Amino acid sequence: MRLTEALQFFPGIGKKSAERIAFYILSNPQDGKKIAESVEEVLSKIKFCNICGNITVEDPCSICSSHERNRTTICVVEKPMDVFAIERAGIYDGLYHVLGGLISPLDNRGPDEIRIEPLILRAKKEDLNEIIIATNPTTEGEATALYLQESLKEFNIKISRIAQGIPVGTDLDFADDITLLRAMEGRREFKD
Amino acid sequence: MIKRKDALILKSYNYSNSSKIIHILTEDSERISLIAKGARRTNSRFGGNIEPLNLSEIVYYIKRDRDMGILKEAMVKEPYLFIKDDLYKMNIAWGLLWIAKRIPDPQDGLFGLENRSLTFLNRGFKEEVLIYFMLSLFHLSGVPPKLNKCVKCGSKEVLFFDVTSGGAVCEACKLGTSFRLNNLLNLLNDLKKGRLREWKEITDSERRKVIRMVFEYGLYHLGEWLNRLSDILPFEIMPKER
Repeated sequence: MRLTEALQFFPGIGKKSAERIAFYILSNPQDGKKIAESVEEVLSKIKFCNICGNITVEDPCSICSSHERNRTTICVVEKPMDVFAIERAGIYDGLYHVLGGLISPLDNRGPDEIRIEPLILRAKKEDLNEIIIATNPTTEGEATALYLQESLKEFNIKISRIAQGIPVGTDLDFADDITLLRAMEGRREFKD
Repeated sequence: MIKRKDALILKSYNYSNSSKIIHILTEDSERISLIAKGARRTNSRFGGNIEPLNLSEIVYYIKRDRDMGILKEAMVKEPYLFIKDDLYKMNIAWGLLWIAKRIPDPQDGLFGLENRSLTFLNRGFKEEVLIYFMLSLFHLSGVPPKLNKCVKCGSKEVLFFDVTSGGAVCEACKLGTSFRLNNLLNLLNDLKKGRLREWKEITDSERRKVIRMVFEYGLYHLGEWLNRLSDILPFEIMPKER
């Protein structure tokens, strides 16, 4: 059945789950139609913002065109989902830049394959005070951060990296050595 | 059966909502893939222990008739942090991991060679580590270049290096494609033995020549699969044209 095969494209959906969803759609055609229409709408209307690379209905996106946000700070992330995560937390009011991937030579992805050049152009053109590199603290994320730091250092802009350390609500004794080291390196003084 | 081994993490990628799949090279130079369930969650016990380039002690099991195992525990033993803080060294390390991942039949001793090379890189050596690694890999693969006397006639007056002949050759036996060695023969012998400090004593053009020689030797004797290494390593290390 084509539907069960197609459903298995989704992450985390195996053959059994795909069959269950397919039978649910067959027995609830209205829900199936809603899903199909939503998918079609998303695919026809959603595009990438020409400035930041985030997904959007209108180009430029609502964040890039907003004048209420801090337009002197750019937060660099790997993928659109990271923008959603930071926006959900409501802790940042600057602009974004979505790289669309990380440098990973083992996956045939070098600096030219991700949106680093558009970021350098933004650093040249826009009046920026700070660029926050918020790629994941993985080997590829760190390598990308190092590359960005090197590429952006010629501009008179503060380049910062998001802090790394112990996640809230977890135990120190479960933390690995590297996380503990980064947490110690990034410790901060109590302020009055 | 549950196994506990030291392993080098070669690659990791996301799988399903919160898990990762890791490719590892174990202490007995076996390549295996493991699922680390929930590894992407912030409260995961795996955390940074399964990042690529770590030497970690891992506990895992593989069910009968399955290709992929399940990771139970992981504890980093050597994170090679000085490599991860330097993009140039990172690129060389990626090259070393790529070879471990792609070499058709990982030989006994590959795990040790990878870790020795990464330790050199972590200590501050750079592209010379790649030459040491390649020369040792040729030895492990049973195709070491002969450097002490002419491969063809046995003369001790060797002045050239010939890839297709399998090592050093004399003036009379050289081919049109042979590299002139000058003082590089001693250097190759030093690098083979892990004396990497000698690399600093030669000029940039001599370094490039050694890299080309060794890379071409690898392509000829280990196979064309090695060709993609030039896409991974920085351009300044691996010139694309001879």
